[in-house]
Amino acid sequence: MSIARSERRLRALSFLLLLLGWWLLAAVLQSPELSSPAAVAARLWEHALSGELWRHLGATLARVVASFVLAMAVGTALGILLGRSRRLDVFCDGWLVLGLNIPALVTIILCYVWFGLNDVAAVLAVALNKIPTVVVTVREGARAVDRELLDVARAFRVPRLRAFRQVYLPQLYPYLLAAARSGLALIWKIVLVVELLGRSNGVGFRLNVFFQFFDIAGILAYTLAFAAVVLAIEAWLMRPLERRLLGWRS
Amino acid sequence: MMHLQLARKTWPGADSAVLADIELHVAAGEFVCLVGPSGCGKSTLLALIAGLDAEFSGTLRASADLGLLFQTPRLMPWLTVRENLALVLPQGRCDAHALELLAAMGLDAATLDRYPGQLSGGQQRRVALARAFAARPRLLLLDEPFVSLDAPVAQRLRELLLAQWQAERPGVLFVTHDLDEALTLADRIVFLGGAPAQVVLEWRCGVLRPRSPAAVAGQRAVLLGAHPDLLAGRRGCGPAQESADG
Repeated sequence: MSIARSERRLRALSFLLLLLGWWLLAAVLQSPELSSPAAVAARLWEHALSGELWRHLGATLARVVASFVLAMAVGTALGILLGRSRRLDVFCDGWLVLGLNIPALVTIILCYVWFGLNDVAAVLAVALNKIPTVVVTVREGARAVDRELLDVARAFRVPRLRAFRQVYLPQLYPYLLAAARSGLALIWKIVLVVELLGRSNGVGFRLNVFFQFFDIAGILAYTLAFAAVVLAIEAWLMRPLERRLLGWRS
Repeated sequence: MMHLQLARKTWPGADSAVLADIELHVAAGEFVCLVGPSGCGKSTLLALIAGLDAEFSGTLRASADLGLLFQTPRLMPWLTVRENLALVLPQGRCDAHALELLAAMGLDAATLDRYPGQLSGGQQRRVALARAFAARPRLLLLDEPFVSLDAPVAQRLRELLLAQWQAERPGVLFVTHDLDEALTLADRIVFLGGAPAQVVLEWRCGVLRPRSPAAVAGQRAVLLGAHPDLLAGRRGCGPAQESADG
């Protein structure tokens, strides 16, 4: 058996074990506060059929994508700038520490107060939470860039855009991928809070409604549905991207 | 092809100059070796000529069609052999000339799509040598490219370099601290020495190529007979043995 296949089986086994544990616990407790996997699956099916699930999943996913793209773009640009210029880095360091330590909840409330209860404020709030961590990661990469390789591009008079794409950027890929990975996980959690506080659709909004009715099966159903989306992005987007960009290392 | 009139090169924050009053030229198709003790500023001088360092006083006229070979191969590890060559070509992809070069360097088709990390050290040097010639440079700058290699590998690479130079005839400036290497390769040798480094001597090598080890030894004897303190850089910029060793 190949290593890849045995690893896949190990992953599947660990997932099944988790499901089994949940099912056993629900069966023993027999409490409305912990629904069984079957009840959750039924709720998921019901909402999928009515179209309700897709509407909320779609709204949340759109916000995740928008905030992710915004945070990565702004964070990468800033990270490169700070990694290149010592003076700018010193100047912005205080802001960065502040940005890293402001609780997500504060940014969200302030954005809603300042920009109104709309999607622009929502996406902005999430992106603002993520940008400082992207900056810190990318800055680390920009500091570690190999000057000797950049000199090769300069000496051979490689056009600037080509040098950026083929000599500079590849040195940042490991850092960008790390930022993207941790970013995706963080962003969808914050998006739910944003939706809970000030939107009228999305998984976060729906969870709030379930909460008011103490509908545990509904809460778990939507959580699992979105976790599945994130896992799918990880498996079909992030990992192939990583193989493509960092394939030369193996 | 290349003409440098250097008044002074000083490192930021340093009081004394590394290089001063150096006039250096390379004619079209000429093979010039720059010899001097380790650490006397040869690489600094080459970086100026390559346009990597503009912090000096003086004037430089050099062809913009440059090829370079560094002390280490400096290939991009995330680009395949083919992509590494394409990177430095004007159109951004490998042409027939580039592929011929790789073949001339003894790299077979299978290596074209490999990454540098999958090649041996000697193969990486060959790719770097092919890259130096890939864009048909008019001026080729080489910074001790064959140090830290086994003697036979270095010898083979020198032969490849000479063959390709004779085929395409770029002007060459080859930095080395190895006198025998310079006597094997050069049309003209420029000796640097002193602190700040200056040109100590220029020497024409009239011997026809290929030059046998015996011919090189003969030249060496004549040269050091006339200038016994040449390798000490005359004003001393490093121990004499360091530069005399092969």
